[in-house]
Amino acid sequence: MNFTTKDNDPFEHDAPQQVNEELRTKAKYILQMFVEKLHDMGIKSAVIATSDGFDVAAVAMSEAEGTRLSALSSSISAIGDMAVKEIGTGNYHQSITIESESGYIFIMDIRNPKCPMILSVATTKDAVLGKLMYYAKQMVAKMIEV
Amino acid sequence: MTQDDIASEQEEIPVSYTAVGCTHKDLVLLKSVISLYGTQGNVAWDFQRSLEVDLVVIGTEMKPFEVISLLRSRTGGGGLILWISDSPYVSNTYQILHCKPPLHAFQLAEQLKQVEFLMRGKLATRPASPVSSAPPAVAHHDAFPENTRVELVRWPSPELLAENRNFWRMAAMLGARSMTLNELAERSEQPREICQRFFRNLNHAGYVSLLDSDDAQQTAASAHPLPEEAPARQNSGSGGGLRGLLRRIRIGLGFSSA
Amino acid sequence: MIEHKILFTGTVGAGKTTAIQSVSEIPVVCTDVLNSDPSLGKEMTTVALDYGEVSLARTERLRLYGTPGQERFSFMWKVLAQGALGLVILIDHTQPEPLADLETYLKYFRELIQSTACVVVISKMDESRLPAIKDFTELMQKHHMVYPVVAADVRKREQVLWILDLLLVQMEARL
Repeated sequence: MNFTTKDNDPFEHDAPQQVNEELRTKAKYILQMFVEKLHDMGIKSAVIATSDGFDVAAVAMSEAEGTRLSALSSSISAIGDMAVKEIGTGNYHQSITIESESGYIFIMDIRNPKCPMILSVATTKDAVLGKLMYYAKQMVAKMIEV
Repeated sequence: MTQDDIASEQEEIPVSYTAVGCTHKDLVLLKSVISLYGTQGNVAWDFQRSLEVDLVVIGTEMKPFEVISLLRSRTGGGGLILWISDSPYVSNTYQILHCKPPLHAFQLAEQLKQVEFLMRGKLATRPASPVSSAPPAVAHHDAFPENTRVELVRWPSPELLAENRNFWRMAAMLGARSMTLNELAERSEQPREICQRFFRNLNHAGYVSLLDSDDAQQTAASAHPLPEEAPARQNSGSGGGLRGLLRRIRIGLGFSSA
Repeated sequence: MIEHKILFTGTVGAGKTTAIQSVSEIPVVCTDVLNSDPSLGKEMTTVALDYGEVSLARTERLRLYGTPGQERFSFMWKVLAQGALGLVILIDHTQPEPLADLETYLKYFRELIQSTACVVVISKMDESRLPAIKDFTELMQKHHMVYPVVAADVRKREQVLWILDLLLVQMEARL
């Protein structure tokens, strides 16, 4: 994900990759494994999206919810990056956790050089965040190599 | 209107005019419309072979740069131009009326009415007095009496707005709030004749609806007053409320006059 | 620091970021990411917001916010609209459905528009093609909305200033 000002030229990288079928299939599989591993964790939805908010793979209550979560996590990620940069604690956020009275939304950056993506998971209050983060990191590492 | 003003509406006023760069066909049409119109209106139209006239009609045969040097060569005469062209021109020195070719009798007559109106404005020796509640003796909307509120119902075409460089801002103002002629003149800080012409043009093109004094109260309310949540009262910064803020924004953006 | 806000919205590629940059005192801060949608014809796309600044007083600032263009991010439109002094809608004339695009923004931002001020800007205008300006104004009349509709090149600072002037004039008229 690029956090840019007009000073630096953002166009120094390769042309953006479209999400191809191979990536989609692998992402679906990896996501499915992840959700199954955490079957007792009260996961309501889990989505892998492109950094500009399109779904790549989703395990969700409905398709509409998957799409919404993709777009939302894209914006939140971008603002997370901005916050980190503005405050000076780094260049990119790694994860963001939103806690509400009924659960969590957990967002993690997938810095795949070919296709930047975002993992977002919505859970009930039962979720054990530490465990969730641990498996999410593993999953993200796999996704980076896809 | 006072009795005196009404009388001046009916007095015949002389308007001298000439035509340059017109096709023969357009010249014939111009003269016949003038002779027809001349019997209805109260203008004594006087064609002269001279540039030192009240109204110069410019035809399609002249190029803009030729027109400019021609006008510069004038030693006298009035500031009214009727220009037959596809694109409207604006000027600080001249008041330019505009007719799109091909010339038609109706649009020509409309512009001639406007010429008469502007000439009357120039000749009036006393400032317009507040209109009484009685309807004007010469009944027409073009006078826009005190109790007529003008409401913009559609954003006007760029062609209409191009006639005067202030029309854009005046339209933006009018869109935000329906106004009487006096209100527009005051808020826009433009001469009454300009505002009158603006209203006329808008009215003829169907961009406005006219409301009488009874409706005026209602319309003022529906002029979308700023809501309670206007930023000014939360944090009005250096003071002066929203007006002050808007002034500071103009200064901050670098507008020459705040 | 007291913040005020003017919002720029409109179709992807219409020039929101460019317009802001034309008047901003700082380089525009943006949340552009790689665009994975080839139909947009753009390398980057805004997913959260752009912003630029104009200082008004020592402790007062005007922020110029740009929204993402895609309707998918309409939740951001709602967030960014809060407390805005006015809205500039930029419509790219080269897109297939400029009138439908305008209608989308008029619908989502109706409340903001009607309680503050709005200017519709047609960018990359091609006079030889439809829709013409009058088609846009007719559409707005249908929605009972009367706001300036102008064709402009937002790369030019004086044109963006002109647009902001028309916005300010509306706000002043309501005082």
